[in-house]
Amino acid sequence: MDNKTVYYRPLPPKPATLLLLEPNDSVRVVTLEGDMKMGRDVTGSMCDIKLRSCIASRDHGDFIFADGAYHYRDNNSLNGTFYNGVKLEQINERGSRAVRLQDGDVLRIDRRNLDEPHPDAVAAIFSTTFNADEKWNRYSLRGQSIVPIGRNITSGISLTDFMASRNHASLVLMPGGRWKIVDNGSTNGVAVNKNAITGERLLDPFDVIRIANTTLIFLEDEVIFNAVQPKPQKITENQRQVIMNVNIQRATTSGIFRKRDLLRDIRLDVESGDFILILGGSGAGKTTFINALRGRVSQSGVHASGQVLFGGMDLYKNFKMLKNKVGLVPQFPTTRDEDTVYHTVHDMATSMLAGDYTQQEIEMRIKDVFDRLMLNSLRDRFIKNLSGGQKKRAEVALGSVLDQEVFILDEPDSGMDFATRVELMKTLKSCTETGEAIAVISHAPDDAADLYTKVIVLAKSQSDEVGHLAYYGDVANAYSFFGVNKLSEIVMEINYEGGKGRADEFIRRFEMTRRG
Amino acid sequence: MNKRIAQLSVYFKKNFRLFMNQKNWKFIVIAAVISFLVCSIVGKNMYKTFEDTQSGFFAITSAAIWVGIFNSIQRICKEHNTIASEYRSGLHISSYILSHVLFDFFVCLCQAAILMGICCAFIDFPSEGTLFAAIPEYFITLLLIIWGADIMGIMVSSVSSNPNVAMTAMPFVLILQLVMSGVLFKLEGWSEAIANITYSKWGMSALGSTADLNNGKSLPSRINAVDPMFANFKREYIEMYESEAGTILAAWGMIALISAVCIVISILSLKFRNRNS
Repeated sequence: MDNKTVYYRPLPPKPATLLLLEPNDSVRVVTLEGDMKMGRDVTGSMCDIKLRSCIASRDHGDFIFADGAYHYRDNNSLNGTFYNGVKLEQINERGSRAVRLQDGDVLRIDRRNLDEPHPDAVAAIFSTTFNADEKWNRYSLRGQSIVPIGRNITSGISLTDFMASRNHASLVLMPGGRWKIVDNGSTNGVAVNKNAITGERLLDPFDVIRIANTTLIFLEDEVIFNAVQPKPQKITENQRQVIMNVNIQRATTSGIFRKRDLLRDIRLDVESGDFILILGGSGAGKTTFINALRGRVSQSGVHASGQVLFGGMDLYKNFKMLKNKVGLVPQFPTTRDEDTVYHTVHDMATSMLAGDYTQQEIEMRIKDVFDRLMLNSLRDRFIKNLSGGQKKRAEVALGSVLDQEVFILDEPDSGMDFATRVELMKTLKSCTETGEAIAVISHAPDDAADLYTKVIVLAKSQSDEVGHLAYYGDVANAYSFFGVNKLSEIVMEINYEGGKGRADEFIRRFEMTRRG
Repeated sequence: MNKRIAQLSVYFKKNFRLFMNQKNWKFIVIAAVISFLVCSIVGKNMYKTFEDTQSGFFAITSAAIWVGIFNSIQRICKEHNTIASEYRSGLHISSYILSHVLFDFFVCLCQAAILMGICCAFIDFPSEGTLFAAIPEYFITLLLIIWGADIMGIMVSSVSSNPNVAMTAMPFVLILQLVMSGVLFKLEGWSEAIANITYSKWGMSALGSTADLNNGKSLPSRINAVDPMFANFKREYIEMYESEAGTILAAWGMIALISAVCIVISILSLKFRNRNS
């Protein structure tokens, strides 16, 4: 998906990593930094990636960074290298040609016959999505027939992930020797290879299982899984990452006699910590855009095609599993005025997480969210006694307690005076410091223009009467792109009614520059 | 613990908190005031003649229905946006509605106790009922009427888009209940069929059965007392007041059945309203 624009500085791509699995050793995460050599760890070895396995050659293979991608080449090693189950020599001359590596590719050093693996066999999983600082654990499946997977359990695979259910899933050995994974009616579901499963699914080696925020990789006789860390109080620039890829190809009204496009070709990435302003001319499709972002593709007779990806998983295809990742905070509060902030958040957490979490765990979760969103001083205040900004912060806490990552606020500042509007936006901006992304529709964008990290401008083209992306980038570039001094002037530039009617010009120009 | 039961528990506690914070206990005070007004007017003529007793019970039934509906008529519709938001996050509508139904049971229990207490202060009830002692029977009937009307209020509130719509619908619902009780008008044909789905008819049936309204000796017709010429006049036997266990149990059962239907309609209407969430 081509999402790159020249109007903001995108986060650097995650460094490529290798998950190295050697017998009787913990999982090693190796960050690839340009060209690197891999080989057996012997005295005087010049290799960057040193293997302990006795079947690895001293100079087994090379990782080569070329044309923006990593390649692997076997250096005429004694036992050779398997690339996704196929021995490299079968697809190229030994040591003469490299294979281009893609996320999830598996390299293996083993005997010729993979059905009888060598006890010192090595597996290396190439990844461009795992974080280099993640800790990985190994769990052996040998001699077991049922392995429970859940949060803080005493036997089986114990996850540290709060959003995993206590009895989330089980690995079950089938009579033929194959394993399957069974979803034990978990709250947040199970996905295998980025697709949510219903009930159970047979597993193949190197299948990637997703349970809440935990990734488990099934190997034939063991499972490796990452240890999910609690959210930090404040994320650093290095911890920021792309959390949502949006590629809405079309949003169409599904009338019986006539289908009409409302939105077309909206492509953008949302990064953690983003505070995004959504601007749009009249009829540009802001509401349709929001509904499409939330996965409400059939809402109000509108059908959206394309993808909204969270961690590579498609929201539209896995709606039940991902629906809580993005939430809408409507213009008018949906909280109960005569309830306290604590009880509002507590009841949401308890009613949605209950049955699986102890009261103590829920209290700890609430404390964590209150600490991060600085709500402790408002804990016992009635919602009706909060300021506009505090109310919105409480609503963000409601989503945060359920692990929402993206919040869309529909005109949170309407009906407020200038000072309150600024205070509200500062409050919302502070909510993004913990890693969530917030997108705001506002009709007073200049109040806090310097707070926004990005601006989305939707405009209705006069030529096709469809909403398009007219700009996505940072605020500074927005001024020069539209030739304005204020964000509010952008709407005037693109609007046909009461404005300068330059929507088509900017849509075209944005598309041209994005194509490069 | 099952998630639905857990949510039921959470919302039950929330209802109690909001009941206190929103000062909804005033509905109990209002119930006491209404009960006092009704009983002080009808009380002195109760158990003297058939007509006066029937009218008295009709007034008490009407008050009970009014009290019950008023408890809940605005409750759900003013939370539609909140429900939509919580439904998307995983709320089970059935847990939400049942939490209101169960919590309101205790409110209605208080209101029925107050109504019964005030009735006892103004009315000299006979000691014997149809199944057991009269006062417990009256109490159960009044509780079922108030609770049933409360549940009907929940239903009306669930299908109404906002409190204004609900309050506009309320008089129509009340009039239907009063007209279809079978006291003001003789019901035949389609009106009798409609009466079968009203709390007023079955409430009157249960109260009339306990009071043995068909008993001409203990409750003579007003005309019997006014003119000796009509001393032997036998009034029409009204089946729904039959003083038998089957009659009162059927009346209670019908009230429970109508309430169950109202609960189902409430759940379905909210699910339909939030189908795109």
